[in-house]
Amino acid sequence: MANTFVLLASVEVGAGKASTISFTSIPQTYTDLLLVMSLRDDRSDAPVTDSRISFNATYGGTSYRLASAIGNNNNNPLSVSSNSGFSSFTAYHNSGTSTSNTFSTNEIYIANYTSSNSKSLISWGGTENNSADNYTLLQSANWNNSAAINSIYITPWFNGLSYIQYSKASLYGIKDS
Amino acid sequence: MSQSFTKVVVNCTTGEEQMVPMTAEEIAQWEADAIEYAAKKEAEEAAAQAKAEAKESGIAKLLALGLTEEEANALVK
Repeated sequence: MANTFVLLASVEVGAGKASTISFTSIPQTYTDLLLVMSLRDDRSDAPVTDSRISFNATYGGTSYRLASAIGNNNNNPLSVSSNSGFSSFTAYHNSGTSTSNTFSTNEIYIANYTSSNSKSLISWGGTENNSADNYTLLQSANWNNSAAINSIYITPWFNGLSYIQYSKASLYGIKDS
Repeated sequence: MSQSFTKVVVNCTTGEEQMVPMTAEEIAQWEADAIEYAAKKEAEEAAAQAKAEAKESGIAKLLALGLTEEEANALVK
């Protein structure tokens, strides 16, 4: 059971926006990682967008296996899916038509990130919206890669979008003793 | 004129934070991955829709056979 959380780095997006948030040179001295995010992008036609979470600058490929439970209080009370062959895994964040000045709440738990085995991942969180179009996502994933994780990349899944000012991401290292 | 994008990079060892323009290669990869992801999402949503429609159709047929709605829903759960 993890008993120590150490803040490794925290970043808040400034007025210039950011299309990608990157954590690099992650120390290899912890057992697990916890990524905590509060995000909103500048998409103009939806209340929610997927954030793409990837490791070690590994884009493309098919090394992620996902199991997802998605809730939406508008037209999709609950759906579940399971699939493999994804190139990253996800978190839901607020987009432009959600209530002004609201941001998502997301946590990503990355177990045994220095292991040479596949990495187990859990993503949970959702969007905040004061009208009836909130989304929540619980996703477990497996990253089938033997490399230790030394960097994390967070970006909106739809190209051309940027995280807006006050979006925030913090990375914690966790030791098991 | 092409739009420029930036990324914020924070070094977890030194604490240094930088705003860096995305390269043309990074933007191209981003666009390619987004297209691929959109296609997978669309296929996933279509499959979920088909499943929902099949369930609805099954319930209707069970109701036509004389089952109650509660019984039909229990069978196709």
